[in-house]
Amino acid sequence: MGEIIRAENLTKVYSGKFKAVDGISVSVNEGEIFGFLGPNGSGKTTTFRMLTTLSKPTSGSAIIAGYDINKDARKIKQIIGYSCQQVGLDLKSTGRYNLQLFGRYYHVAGKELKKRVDELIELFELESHADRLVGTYSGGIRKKLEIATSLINRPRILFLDEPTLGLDIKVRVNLWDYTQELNKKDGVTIFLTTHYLEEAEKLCNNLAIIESGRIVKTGNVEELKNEIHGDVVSLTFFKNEKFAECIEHSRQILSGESFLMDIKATEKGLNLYVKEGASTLPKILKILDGCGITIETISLAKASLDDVFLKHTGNRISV
Amino acid sequence: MTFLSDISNTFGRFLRSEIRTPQIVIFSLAQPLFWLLLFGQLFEKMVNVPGISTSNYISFLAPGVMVMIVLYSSTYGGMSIVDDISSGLLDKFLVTPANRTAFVIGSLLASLVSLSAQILVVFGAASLMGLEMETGIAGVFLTMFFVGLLSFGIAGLSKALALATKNAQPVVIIGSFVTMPLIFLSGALMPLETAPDWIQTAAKFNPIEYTVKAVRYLVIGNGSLNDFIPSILVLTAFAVFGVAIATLAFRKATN
Ligand SMILES: Nc1ncnc2c1ncn2[C@@H]1O[C@H](COP(=O)(O)OP(=O)(O)O)[C@@H](O)[C@H]1O
Ligand SMILES: [Mg+2]
Repeated sequence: MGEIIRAENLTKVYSGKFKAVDGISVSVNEGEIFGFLGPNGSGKTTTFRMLTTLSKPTSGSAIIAGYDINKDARKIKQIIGYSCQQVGLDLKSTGRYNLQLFGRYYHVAGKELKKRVDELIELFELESHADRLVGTYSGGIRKKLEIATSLINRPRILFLDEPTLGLDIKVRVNLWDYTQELNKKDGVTIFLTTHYLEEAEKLCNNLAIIESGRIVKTGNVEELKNEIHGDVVSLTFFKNEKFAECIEHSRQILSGESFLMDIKATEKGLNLYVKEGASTLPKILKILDGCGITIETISLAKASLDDVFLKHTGNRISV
Repeated sequence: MTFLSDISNTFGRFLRSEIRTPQIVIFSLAQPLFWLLLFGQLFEKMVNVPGISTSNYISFLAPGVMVMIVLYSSTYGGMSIVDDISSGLLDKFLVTPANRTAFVIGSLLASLVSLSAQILVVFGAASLMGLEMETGIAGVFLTMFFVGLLSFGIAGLSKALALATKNAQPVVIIGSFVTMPLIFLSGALMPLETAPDWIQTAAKFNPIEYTVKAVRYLVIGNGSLNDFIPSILVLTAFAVFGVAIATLAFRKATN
């Protein structure tokens, strides 16, 4: 399947100086789930607002299903759905009314509108909620309804901005299922933003890691993880006057070791990227002990997207 | 066609949310009654004041109360849009192919419905209190028209302010700051003939004054047709200005 979104050097400058989005280029293939992974304030929403024609880029361009965001906004609106980061619903009306409201804005009316609304209520299992006021819904139900409203025009591309922000894990898993089903069954291309690693890992085929308005790395999720190779050994040191010295010293003596693939400083100590953690752990302990370096904790984990993030940005995304 | 359907869709939504809160409906209908009674009692003895060419103060007062209602209901007309911005609803609307201007016009039209109900309450109550409508039922409709123009102008400005600041607070502060002066720099409650010169001058720049004049002409035949024509022109211009500036702010805020 071909490319359905192509952004070139998208840039958004606020107040004449602040670059919220700083030259983002990205390519999304039809039928895939593509993710923007980045911390709060990294420019995800701003990029989405440009791609969905809500905001004009300061410079740069993007082609969506063959249409230029700078020229063919109306065409693009017809074929995309947008689920925003906030509530995006009329809380003082019922769920059904909200669906009808947006349906009418897409100029769907009469029997066809009724049919589509019923379909979406069924698809998202909202039957028992549809006729209650949205203000009384739980966060998870609201989000389901909100995503449903963004599907009213049967979009080819669905933009999901932080779809599970602030929801508890059960609801998130449930929403992930819907997202995957939409993608698999109806072939909807999905572009999502998240700062949840599990979400990116679970849903996305391809991923762009974004920080301070720039993409620092793009790639297939599995490949990105493989790039980190094997396991991560995390060392932490006591926060005393010797803290910095310990880190520097450990880094020096470990750098020469053949088992070490990469090494990164973290807030509390060091992350060592190694091929095979279980057998390396004792070696590391022995070396450090031999040099008289005291560590606070040592732990072993499989490399995750968090480590990919750390490697490319120098920061951790999870707190 | 789709433009009209976009307007009616927006109109429907705003109307629903207005009538969904019965407390507000009741309060907004009780308010004009309260004012009529209060001011009626306060200024009852004013029929002898120069400038009131009617033997019945209620006939003089009713148009004044009407413009006060417009002021109070339209000044805060921008606030709903702030809610829609922060809730993300506006983004969801803007991402649809619906016409943007329809959102502004639809919401303005919806506020006209409750406003019309309030004006009818004033007419009804004032009639019971002795108002005689010189121009009959046609005058009632024309009154609605003028009051509607004023409301478009004020609500349009209020929306523009809310959109420019994306914040309800400036709307509240500026709204409450200008309401009283606008009323007292017009002949809404008292005839301007006895007011100081500077107030009379200020009133020439006050759309409230033009509305009061026009409505008073319709209710008690006060003034002349020469006063009526400028009112039509000024109020139409003011309404167009309000809608235009709100639309402009809307387009700017959504870029
Ligand atoms: N309308 C705006 N005016 C000025 N700055 C903005 C505006 N919208 C967003 N920003 C700033 O741009 C940066 C990126 O924001 P955003 O795209 O919302 O990030 P994310 O969605 O990744 O959390 C932030 O620093 C934010 O404060
Ligand atoms: Mg965001």
